[in-house]
Amino acid sequence: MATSDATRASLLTVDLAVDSVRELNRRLHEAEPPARVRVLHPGGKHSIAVGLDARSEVEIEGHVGYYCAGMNKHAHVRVRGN
Amino acid sequence: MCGIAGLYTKSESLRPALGGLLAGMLEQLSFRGPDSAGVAFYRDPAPLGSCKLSLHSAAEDPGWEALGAELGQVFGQASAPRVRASHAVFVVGADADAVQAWLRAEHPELTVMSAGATIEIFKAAGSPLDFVQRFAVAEIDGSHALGHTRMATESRVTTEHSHPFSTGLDLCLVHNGSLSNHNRLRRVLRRHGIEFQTDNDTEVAAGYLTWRMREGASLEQALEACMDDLDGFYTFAVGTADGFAVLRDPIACKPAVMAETDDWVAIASEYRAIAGLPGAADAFTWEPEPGRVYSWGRSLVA
Repeated sequence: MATSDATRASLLTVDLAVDSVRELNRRLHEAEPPARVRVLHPGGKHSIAVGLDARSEVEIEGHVGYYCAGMNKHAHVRVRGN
Repeated sequence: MCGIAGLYTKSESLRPALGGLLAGMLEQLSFRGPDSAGVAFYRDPAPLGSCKLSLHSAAEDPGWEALGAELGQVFGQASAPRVRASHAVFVVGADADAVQAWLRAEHPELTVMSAGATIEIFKAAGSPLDFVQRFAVAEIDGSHALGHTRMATESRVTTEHSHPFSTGLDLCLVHNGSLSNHNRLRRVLRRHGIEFQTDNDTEVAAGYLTWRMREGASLEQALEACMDDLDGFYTFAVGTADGFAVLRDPIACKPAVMAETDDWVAIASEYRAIAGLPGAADAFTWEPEPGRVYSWGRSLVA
């Protein structure tokens, strides 16, 4: 459990200038996703942080495109942009 | 759905990079309009007393060199063609109207995509990503440019139906949306002597602007009048010799975002097309208001 707690409390930073939206969403859809996720350089991309079931805290540093936080169940998604 | 993009350089140093930046914008908007793409660049003014024409030919070998020689014979002076994929640009030592009239009579197989002193329009049916490569858009320099990616909703997918549409000398229009009264308006405009090449709705809006300005309206006035006479959805971007103007319909059915830095002004259907511009993160960024004409030109920026 200790490992799992550590994972859940952990902060994951995803830079969309480097990683794909699909990779970000895959991490957010894991059975036990990181508790906090910070997204850099969203660049107006579509479908960022969609379909979230877990109680993750997602902070997006910039403007997003269509469908952001769409079909969200339990996550808290904050967009510091548009 | 369609994608529109416009980029105006405020600093001279950005001019060589204009094509590369616009190409990047079009690539980001390609999914909004996978059917066809087009660009209008404002660059390299023709000398006084001359005009510049962008011509399109559907032929495999259009014989551009021979046409250049013919133009030289008829009008006394004509540049060698600058060929770009299915298009060629000529600078001819004569009045643009005279050259266009001659081309219509002698070369009906050619389409005049644009005419003026600085404008060059290139457009083609097919994927915007292919278009950007085939027309080497990234290599084109200039002071400002508009681009379009088309998802056809009301008329055929051909090069002639693609945007930008020329709306007169050094003027062009790109459009995201659809007009519902274009058939009636086309009949009205034809009676006023405006000619149309296609059954496309945007071409009617372009013809409407041409007619209004021919009757003495400024570009701003002509755009204001659109709100009374055009039914439908639109975000318009109009290219002019020294800048561009933007208008969204009064309900703002179609998306648009604008951004400005010390070096450039941009409009795009979506922010993702602006995100790649230099300094975009720190740009002043806003959504243009419905029913308001925005315009940028050298006189306004200086």
